[in-house]
Amino acid sequence: MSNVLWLRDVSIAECAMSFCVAAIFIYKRVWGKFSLLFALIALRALSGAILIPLLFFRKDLGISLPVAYNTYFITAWISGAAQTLLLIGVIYHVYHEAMRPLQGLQRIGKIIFRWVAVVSLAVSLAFAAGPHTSTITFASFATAIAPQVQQGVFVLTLCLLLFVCLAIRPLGLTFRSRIFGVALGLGVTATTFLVQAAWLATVGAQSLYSPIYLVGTVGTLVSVCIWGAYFTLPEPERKMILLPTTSPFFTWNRISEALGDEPGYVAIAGFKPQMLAAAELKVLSSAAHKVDRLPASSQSAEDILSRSAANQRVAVSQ
Amino acid sequence: MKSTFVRAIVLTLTVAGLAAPSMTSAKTVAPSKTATTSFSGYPTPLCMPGTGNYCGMQ
Repeated sequence: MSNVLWLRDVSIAECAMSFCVAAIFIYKRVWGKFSLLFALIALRALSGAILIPLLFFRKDLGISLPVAYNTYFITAWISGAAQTLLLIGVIYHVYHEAMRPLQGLQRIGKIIFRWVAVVSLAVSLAFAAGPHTSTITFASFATAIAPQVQQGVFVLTLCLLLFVCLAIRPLGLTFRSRIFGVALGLGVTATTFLVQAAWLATVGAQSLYSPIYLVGTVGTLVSVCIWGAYFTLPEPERKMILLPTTSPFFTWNRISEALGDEPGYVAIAGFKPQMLAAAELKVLSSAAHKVDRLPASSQSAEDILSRSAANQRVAVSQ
Repeated sequence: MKSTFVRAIVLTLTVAGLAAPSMTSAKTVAPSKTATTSFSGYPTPLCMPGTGNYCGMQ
């Protein structure tokens, strides 16, 4: 069996599996909760339904080569750009769902994610428009920027998978949770595409029927199967999260929750009674009256407490 | 045991994925001569339409 036939059959299997998994999402009514992943799978299925006949059955369909190539070119690039954007959205969604119990870390992670995305995009654009290209053509620009953006997204995907895998218990997840399944599927896709990327700049990638594309297609097929399995099987409920007080997750979550809060203000100097509103003056004067009416025994108790606190401070400072 | 196995798979995937792009020994071509890439999962052509070059499409 030749490489072209292998590529054709695996591509057809992957496209058919994508349609099946999209149907599972609709049947199980999870396409709303995992809308970006559903859109990614549906887009892969639809683009496969257009690209596979053009690539492998053009002569049988009687389509001329220029028409087939132009259609293939436009569809592949639009689909690729949309898939990359959806992939970033899915990674963001997986992180958001995984970190739901730890609101502080979730919030700070989202801020870091946005900054990393902006910086990565800026670096990729700067690299693509760098002085190494004497004449900027679509091919030279796309060759420079597309692999950079894609590899950056896949490295981010692998980091997410590693994080979810290693922090699965503090997040209250199990290896049967759908969040982990989605991250695992993305990780398989990312690994196979990064392996495939090693050959993209070689003579092996000179044809659309190159055997190197088998690697990525098989990886996508495996990841779609993983998603299908995870969304077909019932998901275990999220566990109660019991963290020790010394846990770094607990500590950093509390610190992150405090970060960015609106601070309180204390008047140190320059305060005048005229600065207070009438209602504030009334509250203060009533509080002062209450302090005056306190019995001598409670005042002495307060004195004792303040004295003991002062003594403790002196002991600590010594 | 099961979780160790899953962790081992994930670690292997991560290391393989991160190491792969820098581990090619095949003959490389200049960026201007690259004909295809993989942007959409399927082979993505870089030959501009109308130039008469169809990136090997049959």
